[in-house]
Amino acid sequence: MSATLVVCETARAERFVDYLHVEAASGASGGGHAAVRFADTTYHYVYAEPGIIESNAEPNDSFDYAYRGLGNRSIHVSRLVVADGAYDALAEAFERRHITQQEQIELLDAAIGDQALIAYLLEQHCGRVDEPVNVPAVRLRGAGYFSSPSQSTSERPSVPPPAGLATVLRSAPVAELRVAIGRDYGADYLERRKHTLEDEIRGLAFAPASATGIAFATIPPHEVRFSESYEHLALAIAALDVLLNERTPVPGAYRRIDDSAQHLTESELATLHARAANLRSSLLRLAATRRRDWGYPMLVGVARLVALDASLRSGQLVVPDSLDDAATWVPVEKLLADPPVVDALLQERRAALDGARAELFAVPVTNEAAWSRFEVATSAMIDLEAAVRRGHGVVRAYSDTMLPSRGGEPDATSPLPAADCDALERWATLANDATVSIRDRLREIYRYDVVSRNCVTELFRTMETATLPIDRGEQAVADAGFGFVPFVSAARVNRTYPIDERSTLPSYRKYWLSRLRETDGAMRVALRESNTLTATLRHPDDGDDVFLFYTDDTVALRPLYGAINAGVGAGTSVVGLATLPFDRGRLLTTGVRSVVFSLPELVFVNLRKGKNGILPWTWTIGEERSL
Amino acid sequence: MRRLVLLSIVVMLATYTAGCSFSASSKGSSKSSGSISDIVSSPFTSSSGSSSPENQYREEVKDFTASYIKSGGSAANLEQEVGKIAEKRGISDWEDNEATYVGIGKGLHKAGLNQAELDGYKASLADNEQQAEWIQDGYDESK
Repeated sequence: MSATLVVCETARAERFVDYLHVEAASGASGGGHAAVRFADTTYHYVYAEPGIIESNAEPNDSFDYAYRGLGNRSIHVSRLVVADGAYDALAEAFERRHITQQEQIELLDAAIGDQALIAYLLEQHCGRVDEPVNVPAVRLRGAGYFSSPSQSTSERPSVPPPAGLATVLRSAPVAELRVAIGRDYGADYLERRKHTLEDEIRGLAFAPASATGIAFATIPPHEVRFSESYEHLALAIAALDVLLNERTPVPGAYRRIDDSAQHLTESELATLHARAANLRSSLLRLAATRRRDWGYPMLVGVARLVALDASLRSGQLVVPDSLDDAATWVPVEKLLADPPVVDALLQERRAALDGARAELFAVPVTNEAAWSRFEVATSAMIDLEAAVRRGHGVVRAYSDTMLPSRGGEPDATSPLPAADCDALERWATLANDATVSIRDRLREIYRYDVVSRNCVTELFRTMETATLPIDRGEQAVADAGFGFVPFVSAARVNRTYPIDERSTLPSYRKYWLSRLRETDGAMRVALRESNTLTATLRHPDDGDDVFLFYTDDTVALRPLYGAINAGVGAGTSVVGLATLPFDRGRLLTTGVRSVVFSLPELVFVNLRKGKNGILPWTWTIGEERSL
Repeated sequence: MRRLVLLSIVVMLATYTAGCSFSASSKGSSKSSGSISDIVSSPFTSSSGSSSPENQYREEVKDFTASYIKSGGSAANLEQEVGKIAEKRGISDWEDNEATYVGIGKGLHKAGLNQAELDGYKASLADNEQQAEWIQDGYDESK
């Protein structure tokens, strides 16, 4: 493999690409990790299901948070000088590889979605429940804000609605929108549209996805999948049902900050009034759009109309709950074990909410993104604050998008594709085969291999695909000897390419160690932070090794500490043997892994850094941190 | 015995030098108790730089459109893909958003399309004159 970077002497206008070497860690990153950074985006390749090397493109701060913060791993940066044209070609090569692969992985996701829907149909039509179906349940995103014929409005909310919220939430804005649509498009427009969609959904037929169009660096042909069509139609029918029947808002699906200091001023009320009027006219247009997926934005829009109406009536901002009850969650008890972290997280969320509120009233009322940010900030703040105050319950993860995502299961009265049981059985087999063939094809193209297709080799393979004006044909970086190992490749990059600057972005622990030495004294900090019992910089992760001494910031004592760590790991293994019948070998595995990753310390090599289970975002970017 | 020792050494070396990271995403996961770090992945901290969210959205649409078209993506599916970017930015009604179509126009220019090809895309993507105008504006701005 020949790397194809253009060196600086050919460049008239020079730009920089950062080559990142992330220090090793215990677990799967014993050789470290590698990435490249263009402006504010970091591209890197990771092992992912189904056994492939997957392209990731992340904002730099997200990458740093994951690796320097949670992973406690320093990042060594080599700033490469490249010509202007080469920079564009390289950036585009990484972006193209990323989006083409994501499109291909989406085909697999859609095939899995088809399987889930067919399993659901088998259950509904034929009363058949498959052997444990390893597919997600059918859930309609955005369908959780209004009552439905078969779902009660008293659904258990993750956070109890504030007293009085139910009385300000009303369906009058829904009725007004329904009347306006009837006036613009005809009195029976919504009814007719609903009948058409119901016929369409009953007539939906499954055709298996094909893996033949999946090729390296090529967007596969994308036909709307069976499950996608169903989702679009079901959401549109749900939206029409809300409008036609003026469904009642579910109080637990809305949020209001009960803070007297947050009462709306006259000018803010006027802004909200204008925003509601603008939203109403957008929804009128949306009612006649050709978009296939209009049901979701309609449901979100109507929920927002209801929230704006409640805000205007109560003088306090009300929003649809932006997070989904089906999202990943953690018990708040896990957080409460680390009070400084909880305080900092609350501060972060409060600051995000204050910023979003200020932005909401500073931008034009047509700016939807600002409203969305405020919804997310409000929902996240209330979620955490309520759980911390109660001392129990769950804290939900942010959604993948910035839009209200509270989902619901399809309503029992909603029509389904009208296939008989024989057809469904046949579809189930075809859907399974399609998933297997797509998965196999992805493995064929992107199969992960520790030597020939890993995070380093793929960086250079992607660089090769860039069409560059001049190719100096430098010595291969990744394909000779141990070039596939991240730290070896980083050394070769430094030797091979024109480097403008080398620097290190310290891990969370190293950064704060140096800060604490200034304030608390070197000896005191060394003693206190050297071990997991007294360290204040430790925020333990469930999946981390069991060990006593940190060895990343000491060399002379490393073998001694390593021996003690190995002993701790061995002791844990012995206990793990006793708990084997009860924890499925979890403690034993942890113990053995702890021993394995202590052994290099005996010969002065540090791999283990100590993972952080949780960190406030600001602590990783050098802002003040209270202990 | 020697084979066993050799095998152990190879396994140890492979473990230590395996390198690279694992994807944090779990495809197809449903309601579950996750790692506590999951709840901190705030969307508010993911937008760096000094440009406004609107500008960031437009630039993202531009770069995506260019790469998508150059990689053989179809016009028919482009809007749906741009819709996903919009959702991540908190925009559900992307049809009514100028930045969506200006970004597409800029992206089509970046992809090297000429005016005749652009007209084809305009006919396919734009639902009304306003959207077609926005696409043309984005294309012209990039000249």
